[in-house]
Amino acid sequence: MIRVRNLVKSFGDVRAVDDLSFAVGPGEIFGLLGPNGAGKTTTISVLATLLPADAGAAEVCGHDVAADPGAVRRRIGVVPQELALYEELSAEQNLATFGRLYGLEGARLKARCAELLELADLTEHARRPVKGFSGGMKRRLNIMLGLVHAPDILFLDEPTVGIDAQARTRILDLIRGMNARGLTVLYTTHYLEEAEHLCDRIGVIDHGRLAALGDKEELIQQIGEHDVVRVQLPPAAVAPAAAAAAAWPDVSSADLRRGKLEIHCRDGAALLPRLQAELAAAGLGLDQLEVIRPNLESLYLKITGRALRE
Amino acid sequence: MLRVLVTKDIRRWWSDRQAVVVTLLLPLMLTAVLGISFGGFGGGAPEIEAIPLALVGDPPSLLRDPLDRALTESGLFAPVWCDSAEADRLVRTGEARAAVVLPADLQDLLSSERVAIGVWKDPGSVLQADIVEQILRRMLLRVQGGEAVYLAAWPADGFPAAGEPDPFGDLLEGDSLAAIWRRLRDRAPEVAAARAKLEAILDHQAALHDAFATSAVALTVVDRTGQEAKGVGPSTNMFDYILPGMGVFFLMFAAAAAAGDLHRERAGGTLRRLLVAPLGSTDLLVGKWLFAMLNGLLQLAVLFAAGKLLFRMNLGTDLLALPLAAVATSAMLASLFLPLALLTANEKQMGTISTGVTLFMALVGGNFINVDQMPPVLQAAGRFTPNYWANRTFNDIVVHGRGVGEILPRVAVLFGIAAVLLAVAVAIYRRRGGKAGLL
Ligand SMILES: Nc1ncnc2c1ncn2[C@@H]1O[C@H](COP(=O)(O)OP(=O)(O)OP(=O)(O)O)[C@@H](O)[C@H]1O
Ligand SMILES: [Mg+2]
Repeated sequence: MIRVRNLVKSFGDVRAVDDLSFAVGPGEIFGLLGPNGAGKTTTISVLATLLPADAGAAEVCGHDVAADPGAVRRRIGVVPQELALYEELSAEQNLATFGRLYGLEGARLKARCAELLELADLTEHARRPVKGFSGGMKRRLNIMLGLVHAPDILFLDEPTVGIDAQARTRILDLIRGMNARGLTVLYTTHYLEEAEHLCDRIGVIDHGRLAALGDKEELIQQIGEHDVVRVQLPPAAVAPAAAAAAAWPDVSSADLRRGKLEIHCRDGAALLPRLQAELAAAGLGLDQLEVIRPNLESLYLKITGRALRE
Repeated sequence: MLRVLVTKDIRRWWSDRQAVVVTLLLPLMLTAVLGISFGGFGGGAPEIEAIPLALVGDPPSLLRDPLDRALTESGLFAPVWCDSAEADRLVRTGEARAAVVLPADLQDLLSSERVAIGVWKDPGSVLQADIVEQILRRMLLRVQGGEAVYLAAWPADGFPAAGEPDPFGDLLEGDSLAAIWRRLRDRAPEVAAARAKLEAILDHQAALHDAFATSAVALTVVDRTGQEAKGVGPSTNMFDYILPGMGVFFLMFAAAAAAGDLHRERAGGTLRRLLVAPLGSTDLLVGKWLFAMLNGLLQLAVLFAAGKLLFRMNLGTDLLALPLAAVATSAMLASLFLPLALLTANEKQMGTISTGVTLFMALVGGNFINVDQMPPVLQAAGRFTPNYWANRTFNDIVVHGRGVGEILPRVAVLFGIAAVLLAVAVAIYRRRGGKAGLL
């Protein structure tokens, strides 16, 4: 459904999208996971024909986005990162406005609006101006507005930003439901759990580049079966300890991350006795220690070097 | 598609009732304040120029000189003595605000039954002509007052002196209403006496009244229409001079806000939505233009309707003229800020620039000073501002009562500006859309 090949898009000196390639199959929920400024929105903008690419090619539903933007637009729905709603209008008027722009009219338009309102659980609030809605309600309506014309592909750009956990769960359920009915979804987020739980496949993107791509298992494969052992040490002791640990067998790397010694190794549990012995020999006590089994979070951290929710 | 876009924008505009009311009320309020302070004589006018006044008649110097001196010394008038043909011309051309026609011969004042002093007014400057008329009326009232005093002095026995018969006193004699009532019922002689006295007083009053009504000196007032005006003279209503300028001034802000909505839609993300919808290449821009234009038209309609009701404004003699001017003005203002909206980075920047531009153009283009009264320098410079043409057109209709035929050239200028600016906006829009996207 979506095929992106060596896509490049720069804003002045900033390479927002840098040689990006990936493909999304029909019926898939594909996650683009990346921190702020990674290039997620820019990628979606190019795919949605809103921005011309500098280089590379992108195809949506078999149509080239640059050559045939009109055909692409008819097949896609876009849910912007912002709450792209007319706050002054009611939920129903918002839906009807965009429905009409897509050529829906009369009874069909009415039925479609009612259906989407029902889906978003907003039927009771259909006639209220959107400005009085809660964050979760606005987010749900924001998604529905991308669906009025029943597109084949939906681009969702961080659709759960700024709402509580409960509201987020509702939205994820909503997306799953629509996907079950055949909708292909390109989902961007910087919430790892969302990508992990919702998406069939994930592309991790940072600085406009694709850092890893695959389903959850494949991604974990990509960092090797590494455990991460994190140890809290007195600041002065961290650097020598890291140097020593790096030389141990089975340790692939040991370095300082956010004031802690972080050791990547094949088997964290097996490493612990030696770690304790060495520390004791050096006259250091163990303040705090954690062993992290491989998961997307460690992958994400490794790739982006950044904490999750910054 | 355009209809959908415009409907949406109108709904959004209308949903903020408070803003709507303010937009519509502000120009009315400002017009009221300005109109009252200028129209109210002496309230605000810092300096009153001497009113050019034509005087017709050849009274002996005995009368002429003191009259001339009195008029000049009052500081209000610049009298010019001339014959009646010349006075007629002066009033019609507006060189004299009014002419006072004295009796041809002072002998008339003495010999004839009635003497008429005529005032010819230039309806284009009724305020000043009115001053002439009022002053003359006051003078005459004094003459008439003299007559009245003479007449009133005659049977001056309304209040009898001591010792004289007092019919009313006799009638009301006594300490109870019952006593008076009895006298009335029994037709006592006091009643007849009081009645006779009352009749005498009423006759006296009637005589006084007649004396006033047929005073030996009367004032006749004649409107002399200016030469250029066909049928209708320039307006006499202060608000006619002020309201259109205020309306256009506020409409410029409304137009800037409507164009700036592009920035708001971009920031809010709805522009992204609209751009992926299957719209024609310029629908979005033309939609904004159309909304701004309809919005302007509505505001002008409300403004003039309110002006008519509140200020008894003149809306022109030609039914089509005002609507035509309103459409042309709205179209022009709808285009005015679109290029700016497309060239600025955000709403704030756009707002700063458009406010500055609006204030400057309003100053130069005659929104604060009526275009007729603008100094020549401004008249010349004003031509280069689009609002000048709107102000001129409304002024032609409302103040001078001109019809469609006469305002057509100016309306054409307005539509021309509208078309050129819209074309510029479309060109910028197309170019940006092709190069970097409109986001
Ligand atoms: N219109 C623009 N002009 C200039 N720079 C831009 C523009 N849009 C994006 N960028 C830059 O491109 C980079 C990628 O931005 P983008 O919005 O695609 O990131 P993102 O992954 O969507 O981030 P976020 O999670 O914050 O939405 C950023 O460095 C951003 O500053
Ligand atoms: Mg983004």
